[in-house]
Amino acid sequence: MGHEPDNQSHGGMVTLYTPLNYSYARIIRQAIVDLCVHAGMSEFKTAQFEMAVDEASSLIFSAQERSAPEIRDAALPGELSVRLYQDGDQVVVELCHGGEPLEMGESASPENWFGEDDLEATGLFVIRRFVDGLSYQRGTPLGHCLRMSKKK
Amino acid sequence: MKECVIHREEHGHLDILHLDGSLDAYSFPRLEAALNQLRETNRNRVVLDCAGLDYISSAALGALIGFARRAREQNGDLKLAKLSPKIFNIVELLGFHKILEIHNEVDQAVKSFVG
Repeated sequence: MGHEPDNQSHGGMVTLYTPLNYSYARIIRQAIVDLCVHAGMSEFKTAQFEMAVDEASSLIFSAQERSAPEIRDAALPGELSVRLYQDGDQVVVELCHGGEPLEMGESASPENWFGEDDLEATGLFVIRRFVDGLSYQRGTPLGHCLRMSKKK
Repeated sequence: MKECVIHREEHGHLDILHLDGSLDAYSFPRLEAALNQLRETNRNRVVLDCAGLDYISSAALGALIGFARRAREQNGDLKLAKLSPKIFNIVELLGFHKILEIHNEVDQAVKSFVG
């Protein structure tokens, strides 16, 4: 849009609300890429954070798919909130969701990837590889919240 | 960011899949379908032209590894070519360059099957 990257934090925050559905993952990815560019993050680090956030979104959508039908049927627009902001020298993304919580278990390195088996373990490997800070809290007032940060 | 379009080109005993767009969880089934079609017809020598690829998810990478491993059991393989610098950086940091053969150019990848 013709503006130079703004390396200063202005305390701004972008929040998206989406249904728990894979088709919204691209919108979330675009938002994180835009924020990283706005923050002056390098192309490589932006791509790494984009992938980590996308894997996290997919894990949340996947957990929702596996949940009991009555929970899945109760899914309403706005069940995933995505908060994006700069905090000093890092970009932060918070994904808060309803439905089933994530199991933040073991991750699997690529040598152990085979086809579409165990997508959770592969997704967690990517997330842990590409973020500098990671936490997951269950049952907050906003739902289950995954917080990821990456330094610029 | 756009939906992934996969164009298949037969090249003698091997196939070149030209990828254009994003291979994320939503569009990943297209890649899976293309690979399954090759597998079912015993076409196990594949080059992926990634020049137009702007994103790839772990699910898609896992599918590529799965195909490559099965293909190698039948003297085939799946090789990548023309990765953008940012996707090559991702692939390298995740350690995929040790598992999948990567070439700068599609022609190089094609010739490597012959050699």
